[in-house]
Amino acid sequence: MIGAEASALAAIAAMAIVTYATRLGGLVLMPRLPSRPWLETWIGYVPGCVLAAIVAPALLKAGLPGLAAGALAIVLARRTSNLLVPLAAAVAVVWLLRSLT
Amino acid sequence: MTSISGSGVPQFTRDGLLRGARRTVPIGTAVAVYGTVFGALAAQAGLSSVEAVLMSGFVFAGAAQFIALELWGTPVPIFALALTALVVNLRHLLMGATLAGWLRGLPPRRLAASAAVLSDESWALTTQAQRSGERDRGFLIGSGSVLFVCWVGSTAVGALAGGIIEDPRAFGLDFAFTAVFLVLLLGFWRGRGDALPWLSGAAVAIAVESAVGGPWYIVAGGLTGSILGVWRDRRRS
Repeated sequence: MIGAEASALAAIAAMAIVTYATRLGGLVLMPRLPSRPWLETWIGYVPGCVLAAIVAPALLKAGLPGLAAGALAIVLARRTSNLLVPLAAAVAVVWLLRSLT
Repeated sequence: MTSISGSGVPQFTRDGLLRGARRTVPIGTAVAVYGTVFGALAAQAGLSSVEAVLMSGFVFAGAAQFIALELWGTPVPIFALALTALVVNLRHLLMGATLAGWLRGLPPRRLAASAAVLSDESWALTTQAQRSGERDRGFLIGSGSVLFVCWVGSTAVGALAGGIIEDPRAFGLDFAFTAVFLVLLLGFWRGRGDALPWLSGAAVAIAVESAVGGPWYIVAGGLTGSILGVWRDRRRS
C-alpha cells in the first residue's frame, strides 16, 4: 500500500501530540509542580503494568509455543544485556514449534 | 574542548552533539533491527509504508507504536490510539523530570529539540554520560538524532520489505512483537514490589480482553495494576 488515509494521519497526529506533550511536560512542567509522592510512585508503576497488560493476553493467545518462547526469553534476558538474543531466540522457538506441529 | 562552566548559560557545542551521536551508534544498530520489525508488522497490520514512516518520524516512541499496531483497524480507533500512547508514554514525564535540572537555562528552541528526541535510550545514555562528568547539553540531541535516523530509516526498510513476506506467521515473526514487549517489560523490573501490580495488571487485561475485546484491555490492566501498586505502597507507609 502506498499513500496515506485521512483517519490514519489524524491518529498519527494525535499520537504525536500527546507523546510530545509527555516529553516536553517532563522537562518543563515537572520541576514546577509541587512534588506529590503518590504521583511519582504511580508513574513508576505505569510502564511495567501497561507492558504486562499487553504481553499477558498475547502470550496466552500464542498458546504453548508462545509460552515456551516467553519462558526462554525471560531466562535469556536475565543472562545477557543484548536484547536481540532473547528476541531472536523467542521467534526461533515459535517458528520451530509451529513447524513441528 | 574547554569552556567556562557554571556561568549560567549551559554548555552546548558541536563536540557535545558528536559525542552523543558516537556513543549511541551501537544502541542505534539494535534499534534499527526493532525498527525493521516494526515496519514489517505495520505493513501486516494494514498501515501503508508512508503511514508507517510518518508514525515513526512524528511519534518516535517504539513501545507506543508497537501497541498502536495491536489496536490498528478499520475504522482507525483514533481516541483509543491517542489515549494508549498517552498512558504508555507517561514515563517520559519522570525521565524528563530527572534531566530538567541539568537542561535548565537552555534556550527554548534547544529545549524543544531536546524534548523531541528524548527516548528511553537517549535518556539512559545521557544520564549515564552526565553521571560520568559530561557537561555538554548537546549530548542528548546528538544521541537522540542517531536514534531517530535509525528508527525512521529502518521502519521504511521494514515497511517496504513487509509486503513481500506473504505469511509472517509461518516464520514466527508475528511473535516478534510479543517478544519485544516481554523484553521491554523485563527491563522495567525493579524488584519484588513490582510483582503484585504487574500480575494484577496482566490478570485484568486477560479478563477484559476475553470479556469485552477491543483495545481497552491495555488501559484497563495498566491503570488497575499501577493504582493497586500506589494503594499498596501507601498502606505500607
